[in-house]
Amino acid sequence: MKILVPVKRIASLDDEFELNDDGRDVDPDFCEFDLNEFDEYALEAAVQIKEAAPEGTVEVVVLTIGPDDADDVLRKALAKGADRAIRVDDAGLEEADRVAIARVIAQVAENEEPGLVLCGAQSADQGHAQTGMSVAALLGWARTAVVSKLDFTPGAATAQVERELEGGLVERIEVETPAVLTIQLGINTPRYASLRSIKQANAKPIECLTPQDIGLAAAEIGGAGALSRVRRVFVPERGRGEIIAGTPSQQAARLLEIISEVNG
Amino acid sequence: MGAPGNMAALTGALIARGDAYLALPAYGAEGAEWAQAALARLLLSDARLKLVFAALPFAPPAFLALLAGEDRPAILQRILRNPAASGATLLRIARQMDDAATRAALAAHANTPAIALIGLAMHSEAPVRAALLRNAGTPAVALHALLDHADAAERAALARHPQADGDLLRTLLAGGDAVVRAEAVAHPHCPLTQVADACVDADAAIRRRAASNPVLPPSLRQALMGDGDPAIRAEALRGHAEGQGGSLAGDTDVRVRRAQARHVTLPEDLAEALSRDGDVWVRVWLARNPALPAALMHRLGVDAEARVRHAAGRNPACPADVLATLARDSDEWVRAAVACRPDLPAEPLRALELEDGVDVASAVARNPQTREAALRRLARHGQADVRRAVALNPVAPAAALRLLLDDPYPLNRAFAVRHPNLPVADAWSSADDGAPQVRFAVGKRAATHAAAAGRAARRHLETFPQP
Repeated sequence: MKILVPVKRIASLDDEFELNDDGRDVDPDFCEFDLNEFDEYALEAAVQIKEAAPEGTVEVVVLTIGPDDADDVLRKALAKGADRAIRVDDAGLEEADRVAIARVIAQVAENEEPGLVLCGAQSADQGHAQTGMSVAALLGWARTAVVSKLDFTPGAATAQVERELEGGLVERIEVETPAVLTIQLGINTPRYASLRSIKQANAKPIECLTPQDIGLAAAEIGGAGALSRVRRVFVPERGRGEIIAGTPSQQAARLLEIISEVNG
Repeated sequence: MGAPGNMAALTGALIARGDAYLALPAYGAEGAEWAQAALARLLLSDARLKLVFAALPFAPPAFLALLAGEDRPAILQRILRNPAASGATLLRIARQMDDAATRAALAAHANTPAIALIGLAMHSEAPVRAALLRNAGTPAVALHALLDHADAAERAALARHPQADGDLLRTLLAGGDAVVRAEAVAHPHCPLTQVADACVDADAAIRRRAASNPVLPPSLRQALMGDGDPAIRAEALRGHAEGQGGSLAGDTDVRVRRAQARHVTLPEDLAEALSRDGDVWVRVWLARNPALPAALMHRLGVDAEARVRHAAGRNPACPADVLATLARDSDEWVRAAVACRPDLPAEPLRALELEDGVDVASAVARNPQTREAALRRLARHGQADVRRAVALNPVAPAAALRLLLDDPYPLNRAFAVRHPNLPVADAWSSADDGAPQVRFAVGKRAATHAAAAGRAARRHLETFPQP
């Protein structure tokens, strides 16, 4: 049985940053890139299922979409216990939104036929939380979002999952497999990759495929397959705000002034 | 593969590897001058890394000087806030960028030359003035210039500035504002006549701040130790030094007793009374007091409160037999307090070496008396904090440090690489590490080693001149 774990190379911003000339994204010079934290938990969940099963019966396949820079996150995933890595890349994938990305993941899932697809609940940089559920919708598989506990025996027809709800409630669900689950932070403790496993991962091959290789037409990928488009990214104008400096008595006096101003 | 033995071999290897993090520490290193141009090309080859290095506080000042030649404002702004930037580099950037943000960053930087700070004090921009007041290096001349248009908050900041001189403080005191006066009379440069007046001021806040003046004459301090306000008595007591005369007596206020408990001139009878005090913090401060008699240390070592026993265990004057007792304490935090002490007797340390809890294991790992076998075991502990403690042990043997080179946690690998007991050849074996901070540490270690080798070779040539 296979478990497919789609992973994303996310950007974290420096304290100060500049935008690209087209005003639609942050200049990547001001970003640090790393494996999405939510995906680390999804990967750990997959590796734990593999380790609990008889050796050789479960294969964890990681998948990412993007240029060769994204190999870093695949190698990190391999070092943490994934068995195989796939990267889908094509110039036509630019302008892809979550749904367009989900089309690629769903197509790879069709080809690989995993028993589970474990996605991070959301990406730490954009936080749409749409990709995993879009994959499930495209595949027509059972789905559960924001999973905080997972109990699954490879080959079983169902998985037992728990979700945390408002007010401290926990919802326990039995999900038919194959299924797409999006994994919440804290479901486990992701492992650090040992230096030896990092070196071994560097020697492993990464399957580099194009959308055509996996069976997607040009009309389904990138901007053509997207349902949304980023028009502008900007820092909103600041509202009124003031840091009150000085001694406590001076701060209190200024606070009184502000209250008087506001009250007219 | 061994580490390059000299700077020429090292810089050659660094350039061949093409890793900017590994090469960065060699830029500007002694003996690497001939390779500066090639290193510069490597270090400036990536736009992202230029931004990262500009903000890196460990970047060599010579490299920041080079980077100051870039024309990207985001890079220059980062250098301006980098504590490693030299005064010359800062001034060079200031000449290129004459805007409010640059002036404020320059005014805040500890390495900005005094003459530039004096010039900045002539500006009326609030962020520049605030930065100058926060900068401990702002000279008195600049502070005088700021006084002219200072508002109440700025006058208070001027009164606490370490470079404020007597004239400035006298002027500020004449202004009359109670907050400013309180700050001024606490300043060590405040004229003594003004401090003496403050000691009899009707305002308790003024007297309390005067009591905190570190150069308060003993006679004035003695007078304030008898003040009716316990906060003032406690404050005066904190600065009371041995040989200043006067004796400490029992006090009904807990703030005063806490101050007494940490005092090194504590009379034995008062210490005895304080050791039975109902306030835990009095006993904690007493247990930390390095002048405490051994008999009282014995009593506090069996105090009902773990916090007190922990404090006794950290006291450098704690007798060996008390340490041995505390090493068997039922509370792990108390055992951890003594587990890191190099003066802990061998037998209790051997027992603590067998413990697996994080607090005790971390403390044992840092103890220079811990045996090599125990350190090797702790270097493979399940908790990263314990493994890192081995790397922080000043006498950790190479055998234990080598284990940390394979640690899954990058910071632990970086600490191991930096440890002087790890042979440079072993550190160099991590030159391909996946974590940038580890590779930077490897480069730093190799550059320091190569520079030292170069100096030794030159000394040898001077001692034994060639024919």
